[in-house]
Amino acid sequence: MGQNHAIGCGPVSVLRILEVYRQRGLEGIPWDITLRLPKDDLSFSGYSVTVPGSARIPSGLPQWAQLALWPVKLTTQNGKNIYNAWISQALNGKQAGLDQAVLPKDYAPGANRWLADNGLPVRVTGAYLRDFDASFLLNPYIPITGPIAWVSYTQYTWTTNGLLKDTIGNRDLPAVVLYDSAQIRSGSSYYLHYAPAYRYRVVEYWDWSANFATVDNGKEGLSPRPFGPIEIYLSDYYDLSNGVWRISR
Amino acid sequence: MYSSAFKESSLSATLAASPGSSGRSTGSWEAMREAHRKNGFLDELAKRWDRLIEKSPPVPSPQGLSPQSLGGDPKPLDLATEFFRDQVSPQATLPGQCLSWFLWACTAYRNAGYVSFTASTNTLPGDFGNQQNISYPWYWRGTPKQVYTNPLNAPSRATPTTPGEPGT
Repeated sequence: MGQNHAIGCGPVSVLRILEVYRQRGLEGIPWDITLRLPKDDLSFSGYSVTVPGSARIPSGLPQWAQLALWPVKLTTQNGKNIYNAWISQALNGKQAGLDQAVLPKDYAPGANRWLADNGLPVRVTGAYLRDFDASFLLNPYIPITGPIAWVSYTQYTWTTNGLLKDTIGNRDLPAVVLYDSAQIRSGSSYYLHYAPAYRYRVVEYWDWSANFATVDNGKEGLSPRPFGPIEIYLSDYYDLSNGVWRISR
Repeated sequence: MYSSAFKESSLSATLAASPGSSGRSTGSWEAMREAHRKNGFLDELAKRWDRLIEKSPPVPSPQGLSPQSLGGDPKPLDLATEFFRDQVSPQATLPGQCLSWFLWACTAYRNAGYVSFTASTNTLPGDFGNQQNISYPWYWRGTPKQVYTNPLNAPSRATPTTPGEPGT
């Protein structure tokens, strides 16, 4: 808000998943969500609001999600207040151009803080690949650390496989995936995208593995085409910059 | 093999009967030539050379053409094969190597699934989409007011900063 125009696909992905749960009564999400409105430092303001479950704003979106974007004042510049959305600030979202970016390392802790502050019974767990960590930076140049990076990426891929199989296949819940948006038309590898995924596919060899997920590109707003569901590639060995999260009890 | 007009045994008999066959005099070679003329061996040899030349393919074998193709049409020259001859080889050259690859491929475990409430259009019901814009469709204004006492109405009480934006 203020100069900020976007609230970020990461916080929105949390709201999208919660709305799917709320409409179906999954994972203990109540029909009428009570939000504990924050002060500017994200602490409890003392005011709570219970949003009727059927309440929708003129654009058709649920009103509880609108209040999850409660304005939090960050600072004042040139006599103008600079705000961020409540849940975006909880996820430590940073303004990047006209978009807002949430780092993978902040996704689960930030969302869990916001969920706990509002007494919602679900939590976020997941896995993401830590790009540009020490093993990644040293891998191509020092042969000794090569196996370290190989093990790191290998374990990440298999963790992602397990998360997808358990979340979508076993618990019958959608997952949040972070993927390289260059896979869709007019996308770019310069930004990643958080989106709910409801289909998965994994290929597991004894020494190699890869995983894919289906997202509804018609709802992502990243690209005009192709509309509708597309299968996007998440990871295999040595791939970078993605993650999978589960929002469940 | 030989035709009936030529008897190998007759040559041997002639050589054995000729004088000086055990010595190194040229008389024995003359005797052998006479024997060949008499029993028709040289005529038979000439006939067989003619027959071989007549039945041979007219195109002489170029270098690199396999001798198996001499009997029929010469194979067209595979330029790629000839170019990489003796330089590269396929990855799997033995049956055992193909088998090991096949066994490796057999270890693939493919697993897929989806949530049970996926819509018939392969979409997620209730997903309102990636609505990232804070002004539309969420209706927060550029300079919002934090009205804690009436939060449900707070966004619409915000002050618009751009002329033409809906409602204060």
